[in-house]
Amino acid sequence: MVLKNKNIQSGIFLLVVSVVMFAATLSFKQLTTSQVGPAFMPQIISVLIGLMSIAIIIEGYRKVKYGTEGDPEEEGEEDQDTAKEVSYRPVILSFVLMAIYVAVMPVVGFLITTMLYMFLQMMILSSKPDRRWMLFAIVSVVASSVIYYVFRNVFYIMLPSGLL
Amino acid sequence: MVEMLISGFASILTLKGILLIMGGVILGLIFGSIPGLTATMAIAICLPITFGMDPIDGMALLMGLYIGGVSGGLIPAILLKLPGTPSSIATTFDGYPMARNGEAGKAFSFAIVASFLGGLLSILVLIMIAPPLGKVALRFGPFEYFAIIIFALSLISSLSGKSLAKGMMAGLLGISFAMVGAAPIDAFPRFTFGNSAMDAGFSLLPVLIGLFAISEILINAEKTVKDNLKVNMKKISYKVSLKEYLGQGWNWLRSSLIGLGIGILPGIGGGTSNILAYVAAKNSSKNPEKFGKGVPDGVVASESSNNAAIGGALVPLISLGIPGDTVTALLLGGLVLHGLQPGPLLIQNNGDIVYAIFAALLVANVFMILFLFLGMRGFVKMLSIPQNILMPVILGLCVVGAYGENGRVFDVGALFFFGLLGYLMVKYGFPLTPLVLGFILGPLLETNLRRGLMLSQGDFMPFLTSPIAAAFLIFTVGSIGLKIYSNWKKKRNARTQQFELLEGEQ
Repeated sequence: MVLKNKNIQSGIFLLVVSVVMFAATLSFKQLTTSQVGPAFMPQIISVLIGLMSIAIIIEGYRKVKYGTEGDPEEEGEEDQDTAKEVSYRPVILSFVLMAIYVAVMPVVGFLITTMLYMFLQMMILSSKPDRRWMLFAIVSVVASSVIYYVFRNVFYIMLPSGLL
Repeated sequence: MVEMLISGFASILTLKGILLIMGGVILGLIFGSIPGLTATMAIAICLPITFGMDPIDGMALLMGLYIGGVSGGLIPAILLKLPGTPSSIATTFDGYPMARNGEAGKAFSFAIVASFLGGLLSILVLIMIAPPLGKVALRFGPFEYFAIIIFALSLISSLSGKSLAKGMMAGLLGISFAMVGAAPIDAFPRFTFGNSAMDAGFSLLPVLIGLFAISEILINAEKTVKDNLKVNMKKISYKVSLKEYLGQGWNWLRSSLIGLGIGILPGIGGGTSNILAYVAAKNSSKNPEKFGKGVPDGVVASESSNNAAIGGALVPLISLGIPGDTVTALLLGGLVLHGLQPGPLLIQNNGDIVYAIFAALLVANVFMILFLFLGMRGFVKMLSIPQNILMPVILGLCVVGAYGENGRVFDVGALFFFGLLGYLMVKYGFPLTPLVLGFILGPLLETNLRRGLMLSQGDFMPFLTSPIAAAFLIFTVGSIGLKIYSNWKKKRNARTQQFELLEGEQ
């Protein structure tokens, strides 16, 4: 029950982050004679992150305990979210697709990877009856080619050419 | 000043400059009018294009995008009850009812003219107050700068979200991400975890584009529902009599001033100003009951205030180097990419660029009103492009933008990482703006802190004894205290309301 609250989840995660961050600063070396070295700011920030994450956890705990009383506005927004029928499958698929895209781009090159990416992303974003294969394929090929040639030849931004 | 402005006009009124401003305004209007695409996104995607240009041309394009992006939001707000950007939320309140009453053209006329005049007033104020403010700021040393940055960051963090802790957390995370890589002053590599690709740290563009564009695409992926926007534009008449325009004079001035003031304060910007101006217009109206049913007053209030916030947000950017909202944060990034350090020295050393920016804003404002009246039909057509086709193409552009700055695939990875982070933050109720500002201002904060301490040989007292620094630190404590107090009051009110409700039922 308590762990299902978004504030508590994110608060705990960020608390861990602050501890890891502080631990990492301990290995920073002092390179100048100044009193304040490279570890000073990160340490302050990590302590502040720790404090804020505790505040966020407390906020979440209060919300679970007292119900909507804690922050009426925020509750309202969560209700809206559920009303819209959110589906996380396409989000996860999109992100996996993006990860593959980055991994493949240096090898295969920008043009081909982007065409494939665009096409697959359009498929993910469309519901079944909306999947217009031909249109998606044409838009993907044309858009990636235009982007590639315009940026390469007009704005002189070099993109990974890969196999081409 | 007048000569400077004239030379500013001279530097942008070249064929190239005019074409860039025109292109910027048109692209901005398109991005602003399509819900899901924002002015922030348009600028993030176009930043890499400005690399190859000289700074004045680059800024001309960006100013066009800014003005167009904020203004375009009024089209779907009036026609579809969908705000194209957060700046146009209040436009839907009365704009859509007007359109339903068959007065879409009239609503457009009021909205467009209000946008133009609100923008004009704020640009003129910007031109008047930014240079003298910059002159004052020239005398600031590291202590004063440190305090001002702390003030700006805390204000942004406490104002941009509903939860103070979450806003502050977002700001702190931004500062932390900026720490990855070489430290300022001594260049010690921090938080690289032994990975040499991380030595140079995260670049600005992948962070910005990831947070504001990729996250938006992921949010859009949640709803695969087919929502084809069908608009039928019959012949509409823009006719509004001069008397009707003049009747809005007071409302326009009040709303513009609200927008301007809110714009100058860091962290709130157009997204809030339009709602505040709408509420103010309603409260001071003789017939507030008509609001929400299609009165032009509501449209004028919203649209003049959001455009007035443009000039306002540029004041702290140009005079102090501190961005007022996400768009100005991006513009700051744009200046840095051209090797210009925003802040008081910018006006001193690169006055030509600053005045070219002013001139570009004035020109862009004129193009905005022209294109909106002449090209309305075209912009409305754009609304029917399905999101599922549009978003992947936008993502392709984002990748080019992220990659283009340094030519590293690492940056594309960072782009997606920050996209996921932005998505999760939105889902968990964290505001994104403080993160960006923390990311940009964090290194400045640390540099000034360490420089100050070197100057004072490790003594922290000058941060408190310098009157300007002390004043800003007191403002900081005050603004955080005020936020805590207002949150507490809101909670108490909610509690007593609930109590009264229960009593009433009994």
